[in-house]
Amino acid sequence: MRKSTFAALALMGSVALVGAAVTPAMAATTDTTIATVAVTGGVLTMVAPETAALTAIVSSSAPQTASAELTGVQVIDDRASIAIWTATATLSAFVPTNGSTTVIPLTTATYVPDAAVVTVSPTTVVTPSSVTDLTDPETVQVSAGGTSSNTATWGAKVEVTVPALALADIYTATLTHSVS
Amino acid sequence: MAVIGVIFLLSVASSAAQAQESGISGGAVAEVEGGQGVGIKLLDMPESTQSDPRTRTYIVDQVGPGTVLERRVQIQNNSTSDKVVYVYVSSATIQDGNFVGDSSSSQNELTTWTTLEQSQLKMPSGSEVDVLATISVPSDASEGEQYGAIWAEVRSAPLAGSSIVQASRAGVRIYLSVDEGNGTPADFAVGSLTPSRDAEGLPTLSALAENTGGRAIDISGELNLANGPAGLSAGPFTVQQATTLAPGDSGEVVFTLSDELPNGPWDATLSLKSGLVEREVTATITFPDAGVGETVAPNEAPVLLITLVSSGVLLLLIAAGTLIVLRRRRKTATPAVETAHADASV
Repeated sequence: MRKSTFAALALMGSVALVGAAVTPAMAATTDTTIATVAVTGGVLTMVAPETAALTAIVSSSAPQTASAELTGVQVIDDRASIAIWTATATLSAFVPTNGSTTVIPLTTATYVPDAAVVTVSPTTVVTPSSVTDLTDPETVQVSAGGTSSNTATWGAKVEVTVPALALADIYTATLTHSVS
Repeated sequence: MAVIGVIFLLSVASSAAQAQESGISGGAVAEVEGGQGVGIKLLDMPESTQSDPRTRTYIVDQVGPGTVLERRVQIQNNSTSDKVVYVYVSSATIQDGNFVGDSSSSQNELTTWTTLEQSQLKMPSGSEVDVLATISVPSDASEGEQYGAIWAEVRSAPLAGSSIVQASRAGVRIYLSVDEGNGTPADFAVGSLTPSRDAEGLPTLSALAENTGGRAIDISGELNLANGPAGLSAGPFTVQQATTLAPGDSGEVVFTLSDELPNGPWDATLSLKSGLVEREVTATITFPDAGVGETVAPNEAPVLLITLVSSGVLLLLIAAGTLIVLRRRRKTATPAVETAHADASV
């Protein structure tokens, strides 16, 4: 009798283990065709670089390169689920402040990330990937699967090629980091 | 300390003298602030797929045309200042084994079906806001899988004379499959294993994975080595990079190992998974001294057992089996006890 009680408890325990990770959604939406439950865990965050400075250049008869060293780009993954994420970078078109007609190409703009320093869950593997065209979002860091929260911090070098005989001006662009 | 919002300024002067006179210097204008930024997470997952870890993080669903999906995402401002957060949906693509969210203006059918309750939030430091996303799949929607992401984006404040801002954004992926029936389930196969040494001389093992199912998959996993020289074992080694594959796509899953490992031969056991789908293969491999080694076809371990273990069904079966055995034993044991009593009373 005791054994069968124990076995019954073991059965209940198995069920509890399988269903432990989720709780019913208290504020479940109505008018939905698919029943849902609430997800626990934290958020995924992209933190922009601490520093970024493009070097000034002097117009020349040959193409030149302006570069920027980024530090402190950070992904914080507190979702405590499958810790897979992809971080990307992209650059918007450079806009001249004073109406210059020089076009600074993004197809030759590069982003070379350092290896990320991973904390919180140092066993999570994060792999850097260099980009040679920043026109569209391109992958710069990818995490491998895990089950723990992790924080990855990296620096990167961004380089922009300024065409020969570029008109003097101050050009501005937007650097976007994404994570999903 | 962290910085939200960096505007790249590129100064081009016609001469060095002009650059000096005008005080032009290259630089970035940054709005410095502390805290942990603005993050996003999925709040609702389908009740029917709650054991699948992918559906806890992403919107992963397979629906018929005419279906309406509602999911909430939560956005948290964990920075130390108030923020304006832009919330929107963009298309996404799977490129070279990675899920890549497109720029904010990029659209596909999925984004046109998706509406968000709010598009701009004024969030005090430490606040959180739930945003409802509704995906209304039209009744004439074509079958297939589409990808997108719901983004929470923070931009730097526009500066005087400039309307260009920088963005940092975090997103919740959407993998939505439209199919009249149940659709082709997620599945993948491991085709071959290739040991090699990379440019730095580190031993690597590449596994060719093929998405043989009808849904995109995110493959991760680990590698164990056993029965090596002098009986050595090593591992588990975690895959270097999660690989995302669209249906029909193939991609390499690469493990980079320690240079202290002898060449082998080793009995390699590779466990790869995407959500609840798991594949375990074994093969005997030998790392080359340099370059690419011999490619081997792996043996696949029983899949059913792995799937049952991962879903917890095996636990239930064991418990149920134990109950049945115990009940049978009790039935057969009871008469024996009665006989013993009878003997004692004689």
